[in-house]
Amino acid sequence: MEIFSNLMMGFSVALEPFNLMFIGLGQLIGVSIGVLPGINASMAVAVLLPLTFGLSPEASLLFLSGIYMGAMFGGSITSILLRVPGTSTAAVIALDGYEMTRQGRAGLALGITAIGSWVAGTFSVMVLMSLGPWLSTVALAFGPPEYFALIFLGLSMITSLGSDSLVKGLIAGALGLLLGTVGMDTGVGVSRFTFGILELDNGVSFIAVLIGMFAVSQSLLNLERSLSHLFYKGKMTGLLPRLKDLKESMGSIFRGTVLGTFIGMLPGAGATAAAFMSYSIEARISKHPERVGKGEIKCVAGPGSADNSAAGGALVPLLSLGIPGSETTAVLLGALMIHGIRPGPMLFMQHSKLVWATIASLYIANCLGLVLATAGIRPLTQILKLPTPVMSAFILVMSVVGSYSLANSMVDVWIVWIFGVIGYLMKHLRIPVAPVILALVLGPMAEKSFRQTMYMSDGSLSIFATRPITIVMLILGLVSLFLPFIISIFSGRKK
Amino acid sequence: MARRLPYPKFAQVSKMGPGDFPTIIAVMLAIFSVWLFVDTFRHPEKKGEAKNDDDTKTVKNPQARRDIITGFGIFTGMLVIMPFVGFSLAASVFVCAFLLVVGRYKFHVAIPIALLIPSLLWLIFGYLLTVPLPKGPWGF
Repeated sequence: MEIFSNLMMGFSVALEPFNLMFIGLGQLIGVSIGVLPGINASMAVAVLLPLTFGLSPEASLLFLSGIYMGAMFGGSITSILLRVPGTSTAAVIALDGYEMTRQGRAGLALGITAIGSWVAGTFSVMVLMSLGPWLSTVALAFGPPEYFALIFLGLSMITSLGSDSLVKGLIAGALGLLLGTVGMDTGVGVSRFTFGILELDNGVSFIAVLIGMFAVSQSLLNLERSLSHLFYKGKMTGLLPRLKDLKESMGSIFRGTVLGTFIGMLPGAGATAAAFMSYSIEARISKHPERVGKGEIKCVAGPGSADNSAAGGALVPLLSLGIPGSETTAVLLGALMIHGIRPGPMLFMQHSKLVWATIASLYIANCLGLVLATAGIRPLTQILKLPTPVMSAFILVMSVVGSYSLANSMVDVWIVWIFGVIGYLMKHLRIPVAPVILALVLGPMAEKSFRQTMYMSDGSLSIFATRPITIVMLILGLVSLFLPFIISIFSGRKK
Repeated sequence: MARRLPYPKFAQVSKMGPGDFPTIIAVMLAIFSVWLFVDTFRHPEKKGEAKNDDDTKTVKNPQARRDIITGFGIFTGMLVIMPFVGFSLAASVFVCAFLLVVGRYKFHVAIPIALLIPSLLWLIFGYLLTVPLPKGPWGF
């Protein structure tokens, strides 16, 4: 009952005309950005974050959440119509989605993805609504050792699940942790690795690092690939699926939704992993294996739902524990911090209006997304007419203005430049960039918790072994870190 | 029983200073680097893998490589001149040069876009959000 009354309060805030306008605007921008290949949700949210400085925390978070949810669906449009995934999460939808387009069933593929996304988005928000307050209550009992163990678990999952090479993920994570040590040490007030640059006393701005690693490096990568001038010229009919198609896809939508929500909650696994896992499940259990890869509707409906529900699921650890599980939720965390809000278990109590307005806005954004997806597909595909050089030039200038406005300083702009180069090289060397960002955000939290723990225990590490929650999380972290490595050794021996 | 286990003494409060955490991470980074070094030699990339990789292909394309280096050079130039000539002029010159050299646009197309993008961003950030963007000697 309390959840219902809180949700009503959230709706009353989200439905204020000003806030509603920002949800709609965010959704429109999100879907448009999702359509454009080479621009993903995290990059869009990072570059557009400075636009929200003048807004209230509610309007700011509603706008950014709208972009986040919208980009998830937008990515599947070009995947299905042109086999050009707008986002990495939509890559797997291209396999059968594009085949459906070639068979003249583009409308059905888009329609079923839109419905699946709506169902998935709504379900994941319901999970967030029910699990979030409970998790935050549990987390209130957490002390520094539990927090350290939780961050350790998150970081180990991010580095091991987010990359196809464990050692590369670990290197990226360690690089992020090292970057997190730059700035004033909170314990004794000594500047570390600032080289006399006063602006670095507050640490390396992770928003600047994120803009560099995602926006600048991606703009450079886009220049290498000619992605522009791809248009869909076919007819778009049958966006509303028939009852028979709906019946056929319902199971896949349900499986994708549940799988995506729970995978989304795990740090590091993310929407891409959820979409790929959903595809592999659908392909495996299909009664018509000959249709897989040749336009099987279930292989479009499942992943299309999984990526959307994962986006909602990723908000659970952010809002209840203050731990971001993906790069986009890390930017949302940054948005909260910019507005002076400290995410964590107290968020549901101290800023309940903001949290419940965000939850309500996700419902609204889902419904708006369904309308946009069915009524606006034709104009949305026109966005692809934007030539790559113009788009790259715009993103690069926007990155400069956005990073400058973080602290009205050129230091942040040069951080963007440096991490643009590093991000570009990392992408070519196939080192994942997401662990760098998340470790940069979580590293200072981990150090603080660790030092507090040491004060509590008088310098003894035994404190970690005497607290049940801590030891379980540390063991889980170690298992998630080394399981892929152990599996690869055993599979190598078998061969 | 757990309390009686022999734990390392590195984490004594008196010794836990601002340099300890970075040292631990640096040691980890060194270990991972050696691991990657050994791994690269033990499992060299198969020929087929490299062939199918988009990134490897584009780096080997001299035209794409030239575009990247030129584009990034122009971008760097914008950042260098911005504190002296201001945001508006630096960004306009950047967009124009970028479109002419990297995009191979004609002058009459590049110039309007070069005026439009910085003006739009100045309107949003400089005017609506009142961000004090860098100004040149001429006041904008």
